[in-house]
Amino acid sequence: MARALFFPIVVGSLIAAHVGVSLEVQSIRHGLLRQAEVMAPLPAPVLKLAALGYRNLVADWLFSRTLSFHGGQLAQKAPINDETYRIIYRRLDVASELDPYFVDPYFFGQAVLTWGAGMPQEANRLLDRGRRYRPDDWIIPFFMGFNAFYFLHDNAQAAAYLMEASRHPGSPPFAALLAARLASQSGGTGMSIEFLQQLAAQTEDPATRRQIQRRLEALKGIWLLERAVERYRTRFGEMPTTVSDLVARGILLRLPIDPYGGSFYLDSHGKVWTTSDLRPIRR
Amino acid sequence: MNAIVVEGVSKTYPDGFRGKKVAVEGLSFEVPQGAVFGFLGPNGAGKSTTIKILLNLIVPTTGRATILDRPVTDKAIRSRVGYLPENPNFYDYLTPEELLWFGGKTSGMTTARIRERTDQLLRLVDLGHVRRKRLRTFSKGMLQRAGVGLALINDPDVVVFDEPMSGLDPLGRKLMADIIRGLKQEGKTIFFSSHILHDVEDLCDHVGIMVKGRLRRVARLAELLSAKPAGWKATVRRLSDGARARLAGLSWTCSDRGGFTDIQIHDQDLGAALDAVRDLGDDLVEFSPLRPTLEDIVLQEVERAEGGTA
Amino acid sequence: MRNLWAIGRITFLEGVRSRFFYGLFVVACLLFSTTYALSYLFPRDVVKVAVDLSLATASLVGLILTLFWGTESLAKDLEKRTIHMVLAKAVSRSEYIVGKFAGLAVLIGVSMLLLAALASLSVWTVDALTDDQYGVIHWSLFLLSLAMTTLMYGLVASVIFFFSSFVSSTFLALGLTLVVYLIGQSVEELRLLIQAGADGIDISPMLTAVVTVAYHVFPNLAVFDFKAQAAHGLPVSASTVVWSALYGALYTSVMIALSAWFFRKREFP
Repeated sequence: MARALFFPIVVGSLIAAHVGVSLEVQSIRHGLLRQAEVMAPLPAPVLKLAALGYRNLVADWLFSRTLSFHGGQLAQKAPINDETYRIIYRRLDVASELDPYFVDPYFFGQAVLTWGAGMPQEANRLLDRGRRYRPDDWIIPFFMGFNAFYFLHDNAQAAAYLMEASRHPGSPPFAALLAARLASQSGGTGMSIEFLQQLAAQTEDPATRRQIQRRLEALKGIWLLERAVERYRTRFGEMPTTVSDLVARGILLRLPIDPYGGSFYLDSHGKVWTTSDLRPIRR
Repeated sequence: MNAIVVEGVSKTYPDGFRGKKVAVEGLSFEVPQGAVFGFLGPNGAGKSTTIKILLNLIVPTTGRATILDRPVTDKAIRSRVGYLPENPNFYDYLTPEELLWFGGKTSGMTTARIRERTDQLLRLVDLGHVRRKRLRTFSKGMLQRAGVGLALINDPDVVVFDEPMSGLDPLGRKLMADIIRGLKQEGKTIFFSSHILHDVEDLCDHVGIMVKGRLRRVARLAELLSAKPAGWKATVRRLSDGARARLAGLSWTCSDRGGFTDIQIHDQDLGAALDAVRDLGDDLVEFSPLRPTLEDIVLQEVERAEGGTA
Repeated sequence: MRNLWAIGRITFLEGVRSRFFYGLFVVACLLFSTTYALSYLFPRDVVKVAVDLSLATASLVGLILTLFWGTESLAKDLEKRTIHMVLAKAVSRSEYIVGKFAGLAVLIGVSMLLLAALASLSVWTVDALTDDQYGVIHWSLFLLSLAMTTLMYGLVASVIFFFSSFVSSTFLALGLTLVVYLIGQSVEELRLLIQAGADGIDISPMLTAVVTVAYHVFPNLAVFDFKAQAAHGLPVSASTVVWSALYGALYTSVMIALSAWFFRKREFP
């Protein structure tokens, strides 16, 4: 009788011990993964050689790991420092060098490198390859145009990119319109709002889209105030001292709310801005 | 014409940097058509090498060999030759049918004729019941028999077997012996090597003895075994005193084995020997000439070779 | 001619019935089924990734089969002495080599056909279940890529034959072939690198000479790589295909001719 039980007992206890140990290992891994780091990629020529004819696959893998790293950090609300963003950029760059027709690195780069990382130059450098290899994709020069206008304050360049975008057969009509406006205007909140609205429409990633919409709300508030300031000047022949004057003298029913948590004010030049500086204020 | 002619064949292999290893040397013999030639000798004597030279698997360093007057390097002649290697290895996943088809096709047979011969041969070697089974499922004996089928598929005029009895059980050996006899009946020439002297004695009419790479003796079996007797041997149940007395004048030895006594009389005088046993009656079980057996001859040759005499 | 057919047929039968073949196909099916799951890790280019994955799977399995059967056909034949049963018949050494290779080529062709079917199925499934605006399967390029890969494996098989014809160990023949394969996959990239000149690295003329020689001696396997074209629908001219095929056919023929030549001297003690 005892002999028949020997193996079941031994195997059973070993499995139980293993389960116990693996639970402990899991929590250790969990801690390790919080401090996850992503590695700088090997230089593109080396990876091309090492790929042994499977270049596309290596690009896919490199991108996928970068994407999941970023997603993981976001999910754990772990901050990403500048150094890490630089590495992310290089990974996307190498992936797109291995497979320049691969669309995902470009879109992801646009979403991540501009708002969060503050690297619009790099974003455009990345997108430039996409522009060359995917000439049928009007969105890429559109993104580049947006970056040039919004982050790099280079309207001439932005206009050029948007013109290019508008020439593509699939591009929407607003591209040409925006291009023309950019070429003639020196900027302005109205321009930004239009551009941002189109950008939001093209953005599929919900997180990025929310970011853009929040900014849009703030800019709309500013734009509303700017027009109210104009009406005040026309009506009363002088500039208002504070934004509350606009409500007091009946130009506006109420003041718009800054979604970033700041309050709108008029600066010494009479321009509308907000104390939040369009960055989320932490309470 | 002769079925097989070997002239001055030798085969040496390089051994290390400057050494040479001699596998076979100064080999010359002929096998007449229709003969059964047994090739004898200890392991490493060069028997397999010789056979492989005949099949052009090995190229001789000097000399030449012909089969049916065609050089062995001519691939066409092999469509009239059948070969069974020692411990044959076949492709695991083929069936005997496919194996024989291959043999027949490369020998130039038509598909119809191949089918005919396959049926015939598979019956002959008793593999009909597994004709569609994969060769990897076969036992050693079955593989050997499949090999015989492959060797004979093209109805060859010359058949070359390398240790055909090796690894066979008594039933298998009988089958093989019957096959060889059957082939002889059909007038084929059979050349085979063997350790098993009993089989050679039974089947062959010619014999060649190879030791250490050289052919020591080639002769008709009948001649080898019909030398003048060196004496006489008798097996008796009981040796009478009278017989013992008469034997005293001769040179003799005896040995007992459970109920029988073997006597060897080393004197060529038949009359004296017969006289010695004349009164044994039923106690005389056997009386025959004392001659060297094939085994004795082979051992003799081995000794001579060891002794260094060429 | 009938000898080539006879040898080719038994080579094919032996290969197609090997257990390894079936096992590997099961593995291939499993791998193909992961294509679906893996493709969905990507936000946009789902179909492209599916194409990448299925072509890679088909290629990898095809390579393993080629290496396996390539060594089984010749090197194993020599090691296990199963070659005796063939050469003892009225078959010349050259017929043996060519016939074996023909059987092996058909084996590879048939396997790649099956793998192509599985690959096509897996890519089609991903496409059918996605409303990916970027997802278009360029079928003719997809199949072209698989066809050229097949041709490439014919070349690799001929390299195995070449080494097996004068080397006695199966392992050694396999190892040497793998080295040739690795060099073949890298040689074009290396040459381009050296011609373009890597930043800040001094390239000695010796290295340039070595790479140039290697480029011409070793097979340039990048010639058969149409995976990027298949993934993105990039155009391929008919003349490119024809010249690449010709390159492959000629290199293979040289390898087989050399094998047959070396094999004439081979002995089987």
